[in-house]
Amino acid sequence: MIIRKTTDENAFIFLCALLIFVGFAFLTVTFWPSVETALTEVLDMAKKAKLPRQVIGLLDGILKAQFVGWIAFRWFLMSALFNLTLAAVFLGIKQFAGERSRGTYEWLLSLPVSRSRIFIEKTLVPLAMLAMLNYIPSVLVINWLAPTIGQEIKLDALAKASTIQMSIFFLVYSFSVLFSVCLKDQMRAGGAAFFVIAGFMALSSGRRFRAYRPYNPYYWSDMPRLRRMFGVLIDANEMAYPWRPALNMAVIGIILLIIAYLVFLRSEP
Amino acid sequence: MTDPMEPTESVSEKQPEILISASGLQKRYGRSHVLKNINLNVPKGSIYAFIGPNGAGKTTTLRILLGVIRARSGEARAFGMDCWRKSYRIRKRLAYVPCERGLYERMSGGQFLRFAKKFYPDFRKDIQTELLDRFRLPLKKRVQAYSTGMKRQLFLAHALSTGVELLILDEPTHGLDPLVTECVLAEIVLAKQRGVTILLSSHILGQIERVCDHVGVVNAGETIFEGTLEQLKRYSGFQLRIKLNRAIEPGDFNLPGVSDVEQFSPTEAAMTIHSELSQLLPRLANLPIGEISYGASDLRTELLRLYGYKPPKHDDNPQDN
Repeated sequence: MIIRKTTDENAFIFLCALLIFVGFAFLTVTFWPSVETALTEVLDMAKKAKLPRQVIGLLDGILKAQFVGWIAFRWFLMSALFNLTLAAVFLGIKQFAGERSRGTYEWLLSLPVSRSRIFIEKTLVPLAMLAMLNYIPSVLVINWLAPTIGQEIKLDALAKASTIQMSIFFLVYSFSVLFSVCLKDQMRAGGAAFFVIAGFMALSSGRRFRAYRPYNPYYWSDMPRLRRMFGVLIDANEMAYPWRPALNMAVIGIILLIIAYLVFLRSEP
Repeated sequence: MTDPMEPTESVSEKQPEILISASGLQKRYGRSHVLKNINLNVPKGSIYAFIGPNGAGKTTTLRILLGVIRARSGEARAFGMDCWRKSYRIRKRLAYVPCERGLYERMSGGQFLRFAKKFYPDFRKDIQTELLDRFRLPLKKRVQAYSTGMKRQLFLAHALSTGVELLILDEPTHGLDPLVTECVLAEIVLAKQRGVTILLSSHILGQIERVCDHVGVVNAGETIFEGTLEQLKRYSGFQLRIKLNRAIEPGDFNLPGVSDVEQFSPTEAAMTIHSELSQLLPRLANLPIGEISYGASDLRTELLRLYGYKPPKHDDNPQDN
């Protein structure tokens, strides 16, 4: 029953995020040739205007990149990164802090359902939605977008990139759930979650790692300062092996969810 | 004549089974000591009213009994089980109507009822249909479009038809019109006749007097009285009303066992007596009594006395100005 209610309640966010993806894919397919031409012109203009080399490098990289590089890893995944980060935060904070804000938390806890079941059902449904939101764009890229643009896709690379990305969203989601359980209302939980995300971005924006663009999933999964703090995450030199940071983030996410569960068992309206 | 301090209801030979018991409950929120010493014994099959002024700790106590929050100290048990540790087992056997918000506003009334009934295997559809016929709620409308009274009706239509053994209702008639209030009170009595135990908190004394048989009075986080309604009415004595054939003179009622003398008119006064009337009558025989009436106090008077209420004194001729 709670699964059904949670699904109904979060369907709106899910559909919005999905619509953004599909819209993004549609726009890419429709306007890609024009964008490509325009980017070439912009690059020429940028070179003439002697813009910073980072900007020129970025534009150059976009134009020179071939698949697997551009479409899957950059364009789509960048959009997914921001779209799904937002979705992960919203879905996370809505579950418990949202109930508190609406005043339904007390009644929910008075239902003849164990707290463990409430937590599991309210946590897993949005996670499944998040996973669907993450992998649907990959399917879109494989079946529709890439052939339209005329580029070849390596399935394993795309799957790997999507899974790494999923670990990022899982981590963000886990933080949001933890704040949702611990804090008294939706605004506070949301604020805390965005504060943590901003903290991650700040921690990963050192000069040494500038080469890794923010839209690159490796960049987000690296977090060397956190590695020094917790000794969990891998060294920046190992970024060529993307499964490890993904695994680390998944482990941290699971630990956060366990903490959230333990807090929830004793939480009060 | 019975002693006013002695409960008039003879203690039944067979002690009623206690469904909910709480003793020495304490709860703090930060520095605020919300519950100091709450004691509660709800007999099985009774309608128990939990009365107290605003902020007395009624809702907090109900939440502890539901297992939603944990008491700092003391013991709360329902169906013989600890309310916190075995809360899931207890919640399977009860339904709750919260005082404040609690409905999913984006659901329609019908969606809420369909969602909520799935949790209760012994759900009584016939009762719900009957209640919905009486309440005439627009079930296709979203709950957010409902008035306060309609939301309460929706909650009650659900809770009263859950088929559970215990109903915990936090101010069930709050915001309801007189017609629906009547209907809800009748349903509460019918639920009792089906063997359901009802624990409700309320401020409306007239309704409590009509439907409840047991009362717990709480003030500032402490239980100050617990017993039957009759015991409460006789808790601090009987009410004696006397009309004399002459004007009342000071000292007329200055008698042992008499207190709270209140003069209504030059010849009429009411007072509380703590001794038996038979002992008092010879002393009153000296007075030219026109009319005399004697009975238990009304609930309102008793409660105000228990809360320690003192009426404001208005100075008609303020001299300070």
